[in-house]
Amino acid sequence: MSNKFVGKEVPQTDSWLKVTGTLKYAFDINFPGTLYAKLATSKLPHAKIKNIDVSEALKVKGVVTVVTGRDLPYRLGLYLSDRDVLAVDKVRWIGHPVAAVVADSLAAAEEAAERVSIEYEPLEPVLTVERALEKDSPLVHEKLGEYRVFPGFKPVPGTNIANVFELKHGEAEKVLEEQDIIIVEETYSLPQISHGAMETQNVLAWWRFDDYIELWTSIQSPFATRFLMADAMGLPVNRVIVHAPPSGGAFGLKAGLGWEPLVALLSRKVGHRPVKLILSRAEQMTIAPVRDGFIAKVRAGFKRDGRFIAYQADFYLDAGAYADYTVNVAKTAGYSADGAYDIPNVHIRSMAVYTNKIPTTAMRGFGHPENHWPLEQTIDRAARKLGMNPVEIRRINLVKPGESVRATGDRVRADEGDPQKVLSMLADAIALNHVEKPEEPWKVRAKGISLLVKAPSQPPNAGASAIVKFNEDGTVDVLTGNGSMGQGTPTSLAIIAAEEFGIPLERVKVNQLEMVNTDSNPYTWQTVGSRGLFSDGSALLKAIDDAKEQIRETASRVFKVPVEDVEVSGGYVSSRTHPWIKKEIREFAMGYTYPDGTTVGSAVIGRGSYAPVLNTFLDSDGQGSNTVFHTYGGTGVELEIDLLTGQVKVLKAIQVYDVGKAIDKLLIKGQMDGGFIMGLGAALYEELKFDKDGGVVNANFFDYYMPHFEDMTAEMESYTVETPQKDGPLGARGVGEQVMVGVAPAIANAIYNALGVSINELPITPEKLWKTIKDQKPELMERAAKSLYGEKIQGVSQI
Amino acid sequence: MSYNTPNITLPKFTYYKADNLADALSLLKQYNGKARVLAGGIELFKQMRQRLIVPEHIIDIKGIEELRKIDVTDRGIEIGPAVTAVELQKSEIIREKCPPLFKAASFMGDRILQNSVTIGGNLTSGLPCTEGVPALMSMDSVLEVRSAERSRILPVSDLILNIRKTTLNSDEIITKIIVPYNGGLSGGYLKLLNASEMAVANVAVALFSAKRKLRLAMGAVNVKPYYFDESTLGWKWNESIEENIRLALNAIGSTIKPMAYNRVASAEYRGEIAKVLAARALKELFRGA
Amino acid sequence: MRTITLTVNGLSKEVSVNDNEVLLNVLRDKLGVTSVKAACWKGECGLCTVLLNGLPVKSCMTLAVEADGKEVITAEGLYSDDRAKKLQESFVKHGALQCGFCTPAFIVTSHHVLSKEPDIDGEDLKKELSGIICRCGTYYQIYDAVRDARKYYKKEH
Ligand SMILES: Cc1cc2nc3c(=O)[nH]c(=O)nc-3n(C[C@H](O)[C@H](O)[C@H](O)COP(=O)(O)OP(=O)(O)OC[C@H]3O[C@@H](n4cnc5c(N)ncnc54)[C@H](O)[C@@H]3O)c2cc1C
Ligand code: FES
Ligand code: FES
Repeated sequence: MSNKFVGKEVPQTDSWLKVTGTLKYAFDINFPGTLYAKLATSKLPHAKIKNIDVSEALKVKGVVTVVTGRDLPYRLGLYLSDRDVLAVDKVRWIGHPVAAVVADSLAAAEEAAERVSIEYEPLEPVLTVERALEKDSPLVHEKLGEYRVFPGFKPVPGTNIANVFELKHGEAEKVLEEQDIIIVEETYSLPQISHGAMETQNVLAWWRFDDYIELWTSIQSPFATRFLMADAMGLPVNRVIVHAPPSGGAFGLKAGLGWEPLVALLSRKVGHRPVKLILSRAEQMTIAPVRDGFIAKVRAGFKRDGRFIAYQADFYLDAGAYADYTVNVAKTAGYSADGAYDIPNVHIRSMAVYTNKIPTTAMRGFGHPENHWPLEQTIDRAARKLGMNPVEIRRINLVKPGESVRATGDRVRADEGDPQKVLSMLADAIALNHVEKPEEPWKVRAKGISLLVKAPSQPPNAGASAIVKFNEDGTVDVLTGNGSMGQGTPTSLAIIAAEEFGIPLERVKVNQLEMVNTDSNPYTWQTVGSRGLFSDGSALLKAIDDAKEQIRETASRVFKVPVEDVEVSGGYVSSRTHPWIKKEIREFAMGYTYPDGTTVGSAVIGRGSYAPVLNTFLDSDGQGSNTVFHTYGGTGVELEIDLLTGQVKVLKAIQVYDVGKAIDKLLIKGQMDGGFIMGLGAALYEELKFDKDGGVVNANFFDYYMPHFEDMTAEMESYTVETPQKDGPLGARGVGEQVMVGVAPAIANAIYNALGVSINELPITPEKLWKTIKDQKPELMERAAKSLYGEKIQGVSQI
Repeated sequence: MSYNTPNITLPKFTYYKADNLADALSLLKQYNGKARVLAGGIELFKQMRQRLIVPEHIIDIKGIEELRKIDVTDRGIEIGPAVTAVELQKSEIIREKCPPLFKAASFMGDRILQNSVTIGGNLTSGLPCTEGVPALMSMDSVLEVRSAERSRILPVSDLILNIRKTTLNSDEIITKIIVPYNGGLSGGYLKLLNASEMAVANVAVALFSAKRKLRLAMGAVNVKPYYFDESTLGWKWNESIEENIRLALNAIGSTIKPMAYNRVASAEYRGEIAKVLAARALKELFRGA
Repeated sequence: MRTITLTVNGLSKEVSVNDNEVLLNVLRDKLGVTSVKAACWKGECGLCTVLLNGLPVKSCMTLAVEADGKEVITAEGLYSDDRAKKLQESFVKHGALQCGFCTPAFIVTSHHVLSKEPDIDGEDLKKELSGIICRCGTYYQIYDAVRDARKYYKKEH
């Protein structure tokens, strides 16, 4: 095949709309007469609601209604139905929405929301995982046992455990007791962080008079939102119509179900008028879910030759008040805890624990930023103890495709990727052994690496489908359910279609109006887990085959050759045996019409669908086969550390990923660089801070610092390895999340390698690093201080 | 304190655009206590969205020409309070004659905000981290403050009372910022952030070498900035810079009482960073001098 | 309520506003200029940046009444400026956008920067663009796109 588009640098198909600001996001969609909603929220972390007085709120001019939790008796949740629409009977965190105001202007709604007065009876709050797990801890969810649970999850009623997952492979504990084993034992943690998607969650809902519900909402998984919405409301699925315009960033925040049920119910309440809810940034960071907080207690055993032979870990995810999606993050962090390594003995326990803090949900990386943080640092610490090089120790422990078995018992596929090659490219690019000296004597240079691997975490039947329609002029419209949030999958799908038919890319369009609409687009499970290109692309290839088949049938009658003899490629339909018999594809788009009007065949419309093959739920020991592809990658960094202030500046960054097949190099590079920037934020800056009552104090971009332009200090080098995945579309795998997973461990490893200090907790803020150096290596700081203050400069008297 | 602002809209108020100072002052008097001056609006609207303040009247002073000028007079350099951070950085006068302020202006929020942020608003915001206060203090600057009735001179060092509280009366406007040196001043400005836009410490230094005057002002370390001169720093003009920095750091260390504010940094770290920045600023200052 | 006059992307508009309405909302909700986005409503993200009388300002921190009689330019309006269109094209070519939510703000701001300083580079350029947050992390691509577009803003061009 000519590969006219595949592997090139193709901008996203909606780029011109983006640079002119004319792409419509949910945020931009409004109807005349739309009413605005605003939430009144809890000021206490845990309390019984004694009374809600809305009378003052109702007096505000323009207010139409005020609704409280008891008016909306629905339970929500994908994996665990632990959510209320609004707080019923008790509040579970500072920020828990208690009442919703609807008014004819946002100003009126905001004013009224402030006047809702809530009377509480305080309960003891559960603010840490440690407390939550104590026998006498108060319960965040007394009725945990009554919630609906998706197969494969294990909440423990009567406790604060929302899910406990166990992975057993070999005999980790026993091996760790053996003689002659080097043990590395540490506790690591990660704070809650914000997705920071620039477009805050917003929903425009219209509960129509015919009891169909239309939603225009900023989400990433239109079909999951539709299904969960219908399910919660007890409605047939097709009564809910989800319009999903492109999202202004999603990163997991917008998977599943958000505020749609609330806003739809409000619309019904106000006489079937459209209602819009837009979260402010502070609301986004106090009342809506964020990424879990994470604690890992790990014990790892290595043989003297560097073999990683046992890994035992307990993971605790601070899930906050609602754990709906986090139960699956806990499971995923657990079953993939062995990363890219072949470890014969693994025992992981991973649990999601309720606390009276902000709820949590999926976020880019889904359990992998969590489990790679301890794992990749463990490896470097073992290397130091063993006197090995971080590259070498990884090399001897990496899984061997086609041979190794993961801790889940799943075999590592032969076509899964080439982790050794990823490591070699990373090692060559970063050159760990060459570390230069900075000019200022109080600074130190450092280099570090991290490897990573990630598969989508999805149920065994997570399918996808696609439709390929030909238009009169031979242009092609592709329909998929893939939500667009900047990752560029629709563009990659367009490239695949153009390539397969051999028609110009401009003649292919993916998803009308850049929008997915659950009424007209075909189903896909979700746009999460880096599965979009793989799953929707696989479905699309089948749809393309189907369309080609239709064309071939028609052509066989026109050409008077057998169907098997007809070939559709390069923009033409031709006979293999009589290559001079050849016509443009476009002539078959609506069937073939002879000059006299006789028509053979009819409009071409291909359909295709995809489902994972032979995937299962994991059993009670975490054993089973539940993944479709794994993407390996590595991140390397070179840093400059200021020993006196603790500031870290990244000078160079390397990203290497085995993408299977690079469909669009521009988009992949964008993901690698962008993922690095996001990873950098998590590594150095980002952390939701809580006050003593568990309320988020830095719910804004002033106090919660995310990377800005000046943080682009690193010279970036990004590389792809292309080991084709046999069942991937053109050999491709996903890469959208992997790109941020290795950044934090690489930075921590660099610091560890250079200074010998260990930082087990993110973010590595200047103060934290300063304190760490001061506590662990005060002599470094003293030396640096001397170099700043102690150097002779001309006497002041001379001036 | 938290800066979380659930609201998107501003509370209701009436807007006045003042054409001249007299109008502005008489409006302030008329609505005393219920009115606020609007300059860049960057701090004011933030506080209003958070409903920390809910003024009924807003008096926009940006249209008052005399508040937008930078002049050299016999009093020194006179800066109108409505001069923006970008204008400060574009001004040759500021660049040459007020180096600490010139550098500080480039830190007053990001480049886009700097088109709006005014030096008067920056001073009056009363946040411990705002750059204008230490920068101007290091140059012994004073403010001309006026109400409808009277005019007074207020040293910048006496402006800040507490977080978001100044010693200005509610009917007063800063009408001029006066830097009493016309040239001969070298200086620097350093700042350090810790995973927040809020500074851990910022340090301004100014040296008037002809008169052997040395000033060091420090913001963000506590609610009120600290001010040092050659004598409080224990400076010995005949000693080496190395020895002087040592003396200065001792003096600074025993004077400052760093705070743990808004979880940006611990008191201990603030104190250390203040000293590191002071040392670096002094070193750079004398290297360049 | 009072009536103000704005020139928005070259067209003169009269619109009645409340004193407490910010330019952001008037542009988006009353004039339908939805290229102007918002992500923080308090001056921190820069997504609401517009050119007001030629200077980039954050429209969530600017009252509509303050803009009375002034000229507003936004990303859709820049399409008709030859140089800016080249800048937009450079963004497209370099993949300087992912979700695109921040893109209009970067377009107007970098247009302003290049108009006044077509030779800008390195740290200066980064500093000029530091008022806008891109969570997708397209800074590298934006940097390249803006540098590449400098040629269109130089005199000889
Ligand atoms: C994200 C972000 C980051 C920032 N980072 C920094 C930073 O690092 N360093 C820094 O210094 N600043 C920073 N700022 C800006 C700073 O916090 C203030 O917001 C700004 O300096 C205020 O200036 P303004 O002209 O907008 O004041 P306004 O908001 O207009 O006014 C502030 C206050 O001063 C009063 N006032 C204004 N002018 C006068 C006058 N002439 N006389 C009497 N009272 C007056 C007002 O009534 C109001 O109470 C940042 C702002 C933001 C949003
Ligand atoms: S919305 Fe205006 S700066 Fe964020
Ligand atoms: S492209 Fe998504 S925020 Fe910038």
